[in-house]
Amino acid sequence: MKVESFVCPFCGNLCDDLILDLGGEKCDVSLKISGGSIVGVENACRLGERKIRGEGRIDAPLIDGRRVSYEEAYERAAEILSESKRPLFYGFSSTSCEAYRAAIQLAVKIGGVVDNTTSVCHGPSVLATQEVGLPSCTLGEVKHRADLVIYWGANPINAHPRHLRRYSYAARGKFVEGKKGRRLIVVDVRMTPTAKLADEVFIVPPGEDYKLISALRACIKGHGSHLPSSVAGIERERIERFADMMRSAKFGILFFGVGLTHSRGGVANVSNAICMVRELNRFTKFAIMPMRGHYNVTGCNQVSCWLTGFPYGVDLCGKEPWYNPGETTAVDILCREECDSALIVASDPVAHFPSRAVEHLKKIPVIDIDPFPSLTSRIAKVVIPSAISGVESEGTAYRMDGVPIRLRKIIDRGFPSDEEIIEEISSRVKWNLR
Amino acid sequence: MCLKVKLVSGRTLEQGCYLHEKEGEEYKRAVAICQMCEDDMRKEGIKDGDNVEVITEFGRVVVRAFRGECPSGVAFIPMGPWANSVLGWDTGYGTPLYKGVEAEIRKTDEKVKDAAEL
Repeated sequence: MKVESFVCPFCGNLCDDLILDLGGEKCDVSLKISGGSIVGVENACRLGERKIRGEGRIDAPLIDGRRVSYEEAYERAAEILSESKRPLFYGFSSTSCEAYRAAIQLAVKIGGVVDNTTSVCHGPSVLATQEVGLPSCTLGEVKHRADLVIYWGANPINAHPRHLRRYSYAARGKFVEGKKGRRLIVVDVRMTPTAKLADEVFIVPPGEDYKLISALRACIKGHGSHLPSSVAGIERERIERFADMMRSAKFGILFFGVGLTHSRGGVANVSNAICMVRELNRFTKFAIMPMRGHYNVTGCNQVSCWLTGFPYGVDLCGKEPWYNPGETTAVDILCREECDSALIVASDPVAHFPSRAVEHLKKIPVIDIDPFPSLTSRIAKVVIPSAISGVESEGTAYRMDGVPIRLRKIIDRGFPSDEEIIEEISSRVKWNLR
Repeated sequence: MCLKVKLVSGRTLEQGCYLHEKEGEEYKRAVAICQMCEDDMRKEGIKDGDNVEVITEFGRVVVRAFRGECPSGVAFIPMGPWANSVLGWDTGYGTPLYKGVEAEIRKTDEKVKDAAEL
């Protein structure tokens, strides 16, 4: 049996054209999966395919490395959280909106700080959007209309492998036919695989994006002659040509990645880029979009906003939600050694947080809910294996352009969903009336 | 003698492929590396595959050096535990400084640690 239009739960692309082969009479076996019932995956990139295959799982709940039942794991997790004064709830971008909703409800019940991976990727983009808005569009509009595609500080060939082919440069749209009808510009600090495909490449020294954006804004407004002979290592003539390409496009799109948010300037880089796009709309149609990494990090911001009023880094220890990135965000909470336990869901902060934050994580009891073993599950006191969201459990996820897409349960390998696990823990803790 | 660079980290296809197998050799081979331009490597007498120590104000780590398409003065380490040993934790607004950290790189005989040892 084949499952068509399957949605890939890996990156913010949420590609919805995968075909899974579940075996049966008319099965077209292109990939053998041991121990599972998916025998073929078509249309997926290497990243998505590996995850959907679902090999190398944690097979049973663990407490201090000892195999236990799910009941025991739920009880111990509830005890740890009940004894904590300020637990940290972190991760969630690789699980469903429903699981994140359950986690926020648990944090409301017992008190704690809830953060998702936005704080270490596009947090500055969210802050910039709160300052100056976001003139954006859907990926469908890009596919059908964009004749100029810019990737700034983003390398989708490596991080979102099907982005160019499905939605942008190489996509066949209704009004723009593939590469022939589009131009591609890449701005980055190094010659990435994406940059190698571009019509124009601008290599900027790390931390100097803000200067180049400001110079482009001057050119867009017709003040290019006031620029020095080069800005951020780029000659004035090239900057003027870049600005002309943007002004003369029929529909331009600027996709930006963590190259803008992780370097010096962060929020200011992004708000400057957004203002540039806003100004371009005086001349033509132009849009801007963050290249969100995890498949449901956009959904995390949505869920957090409608439950607490804030998109990430929300302190629920007091009577009202408190949001102050830099104070209530996971890395800061850990570096200041504030939290006394942590519930980590579908994330691996031990691998991806700076060393000082990891040091504190190693000192406190950690509950890790994840389908796969990770460096976090290695240090966790309680490990609870879960179903892979979007393959073994259903739910909702938001694509990078904010379009919600339903994830389906295709096979059952006997693991409970993240949502079910969090609700089981939640049912075992008492309300902390503060 | 050491090479002074601005260090950036980021995703690579290989890093993404082995994301759920972080204790495996493939992940280490894909992530415990540092890419620099050929000229910078030659200046410091570093060859493809040599072990190098990367030192920043935040820490120190040993990785393998490889030629990459970086401009002179820029080095790239794929995101992961090795990069995070030397990248910034001073966030300001929640996001660590994962790119553009000043670093010194020099050849070493020390071995590259496993992810779990870090």
